[in-house]
Amino acid sequence: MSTFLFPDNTVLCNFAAVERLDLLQAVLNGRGRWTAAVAYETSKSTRFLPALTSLATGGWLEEPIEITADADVQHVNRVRRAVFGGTDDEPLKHLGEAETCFVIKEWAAFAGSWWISDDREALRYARFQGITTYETIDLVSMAVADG
Amino acid sequence: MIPSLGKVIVPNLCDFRKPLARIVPMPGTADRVRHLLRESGLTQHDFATRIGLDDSKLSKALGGGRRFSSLDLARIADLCRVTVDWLITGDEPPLALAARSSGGSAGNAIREARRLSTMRSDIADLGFPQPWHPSMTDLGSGGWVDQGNRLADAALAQIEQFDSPVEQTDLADLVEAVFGADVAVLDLGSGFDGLATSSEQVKLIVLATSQVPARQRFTLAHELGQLLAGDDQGVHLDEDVFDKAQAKTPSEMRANAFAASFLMPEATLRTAVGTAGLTEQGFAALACELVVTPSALAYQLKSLRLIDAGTCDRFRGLTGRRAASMAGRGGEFAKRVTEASRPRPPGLLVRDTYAAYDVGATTLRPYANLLGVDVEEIRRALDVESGAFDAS
Repeated sequence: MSTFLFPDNTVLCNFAAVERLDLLQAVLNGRGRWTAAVAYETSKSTRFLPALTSLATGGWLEEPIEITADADVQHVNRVRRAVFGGTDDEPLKHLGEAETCFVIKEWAAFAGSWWISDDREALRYARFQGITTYETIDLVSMAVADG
Repeated sequence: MIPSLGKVIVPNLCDFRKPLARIVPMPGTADRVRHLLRESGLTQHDFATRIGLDDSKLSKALGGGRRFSSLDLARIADLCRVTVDWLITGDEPPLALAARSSGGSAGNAIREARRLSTMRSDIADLGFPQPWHPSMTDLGSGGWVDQGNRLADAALAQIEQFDSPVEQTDLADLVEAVFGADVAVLDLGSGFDGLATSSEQVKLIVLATSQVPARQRFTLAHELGQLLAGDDQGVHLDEDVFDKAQAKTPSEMRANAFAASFLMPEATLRTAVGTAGLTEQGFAALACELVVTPSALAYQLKSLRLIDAGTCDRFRGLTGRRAASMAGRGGEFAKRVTEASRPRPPGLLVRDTYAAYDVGATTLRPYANLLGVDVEEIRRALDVESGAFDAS
């Protein structure tokens, strides 16, 4: 079983801000994945960081993962509210985090995947849930180690 | 499954708000989205663009050839001001329905109650259910007032086990500790006293901040009566808890009787009146002791035939402030006014939300949201190892 890496939007923005998405691509090495909500959040960030556009066109995070079963969608929505503090009035807030946690925890195909985030709250929660976590700085260290 | 028409109400659209004129059957998610599309007045192309889909994908989803994704539904919910849960199930909780027909302070109270109820339901799913402990009593077949009185007797008996007299304790704390209902006090503006909302997973009382502590206290007892009566699976609103027209409905009669007997038990009043009767001074002291409005106490004494109508009229003219002054309890009165004026987050939900964070079942954000503070700020505060002052 492959181990996939799920960077959140902030991580993607960090690499885009220093124009080094190529570094991220190298570290992910074909194992990068994103959910539809993270892809959407990233598309919104292209207004400030045009370099992010290459993520959608480059395809190295593969097609955004969509969650479509009713029960799964409701589960994600509950996690978004109960765990990440989202509300029904803002249905998109924290959706990327909730989708990412859901697919790593609940879908066998992504079991054991890593979540890359710089949000301390999200990282703490993920660790309690047994999800392997890394931060931007860890990816940079890996890139340096890989030369 | 085709839901009953009673549950399928046209949702309100904030961006293109329309009156709730029609009740139409919408058995599936695609039907509900198709309905929203119609109500929006947008072309299918424009609607698709607004939710990030191309025409082909939207057509397929509406025709059943493709499922809407989590992101699609969130974008539709965001655009049309509905919830993702409604898009999937078609069910709306009573609070959602009430929110759409109420404005002003009541509307604000309902929206907040809905937010808190959703938080409780969500956290219950994570293993932190509402610790609801209703009084065990048979309401019997008597009149509504008798039922309210019996309910109050049972509630007071339940409280006795806590060794905390009703009149000497913060009543919201007591209701949470003894009965396990959440009590929130919110700054809602004028024209609204409180509400109670009840579902399988939620027992919640919302009160408005007030400069009249005895009125807020009566409202709390009244809403507790509604919850303990247990026949109201939904939301019970009290814009004016002393409204005479509303007081004639059966559930209001029972809740008012409960509140009166709960805060002013017959045995306590009989002891206070004794054989010598009550002077105005003694009446004022009793109102302060029980933390009730002089008018509520006067009516309760009259209904128990402990004073006559003329005395009732004379006593009920006293204000709470004047009663406190006569009883020499002005300082205590001022403190109660201050306390009743302050917002209060629901204590049990706060406790359970923090507990969920503590064991790693959630992030700190829901707890911070409840307290109305920035999550980073509270995390820094929690991370401080010691607040001690080193004088060495």
